[in-house]
Amino acid sequence: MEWENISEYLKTFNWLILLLLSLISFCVMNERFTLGIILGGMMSIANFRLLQKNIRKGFLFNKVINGNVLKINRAGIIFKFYLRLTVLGILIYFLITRQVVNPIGLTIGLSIIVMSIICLGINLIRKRSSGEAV
Amino acid sequence: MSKKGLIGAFAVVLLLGMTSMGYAADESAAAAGMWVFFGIAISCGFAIGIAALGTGLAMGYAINGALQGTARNPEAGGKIMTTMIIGLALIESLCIYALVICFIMVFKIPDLAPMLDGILKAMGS
Repeated sequence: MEWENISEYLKTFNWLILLLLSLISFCVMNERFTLGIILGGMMSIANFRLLQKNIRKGFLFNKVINGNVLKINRAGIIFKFYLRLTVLGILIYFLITRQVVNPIGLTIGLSIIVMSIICLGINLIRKRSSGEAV
Repeated sequence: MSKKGLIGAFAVVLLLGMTSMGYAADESAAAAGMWVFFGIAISCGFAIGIAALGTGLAMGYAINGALQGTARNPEAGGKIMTTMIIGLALIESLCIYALVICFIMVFKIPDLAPMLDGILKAMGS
């Protein structure tokens, strides 16, 4: 696996795990639990994408395009970082207080990124132990 | 925060929990409920505070390491950043779990105004 492809792999794997968990929950558990997994998963995936975008922007140095120095707005990046966390907190608050979803399902949904990263780690270890280039 | 500070904070939380349990044994059911809810409220505050502290420290260490690595070896910047973002997502998820658990616990506390009225009336009579 190419190191640069890891974020693409994670993006695909997140959706696959979300689909798998939602299907299992749909067959075994009730609607609120399934909704919790779906909403929690979508929130965590969106959160991860925004975090990635934000951090990549924050680590960029000032670019020079056609002789003009394009300055990066650091204050905007910090503002967006806290805005993302606030929006996530408010969404979780409403989902739990209005009893729209099952809290356990929501927690499982929010763990999708963690599961996907663990799967990535296992995959990398497996490839390394089988002698494949990582 | 030093280890002593953390141990002190845990001791305070434990003491409050034990106090609430002690009162629960002595007082009437309503008053016992009050102390349990008091314990929940205090522990939720401490829980999210400690989770945020841990997350902040961990993120700080991760970003510090990544910046030092990138400064020493700029060619490896892409790899370092990808790994750092994955690490940050893992760290942040811990704080989100703490937030969810705190919300679940806090909303177990009912509206305390009628309960307080009941206790005051019982004390008055």
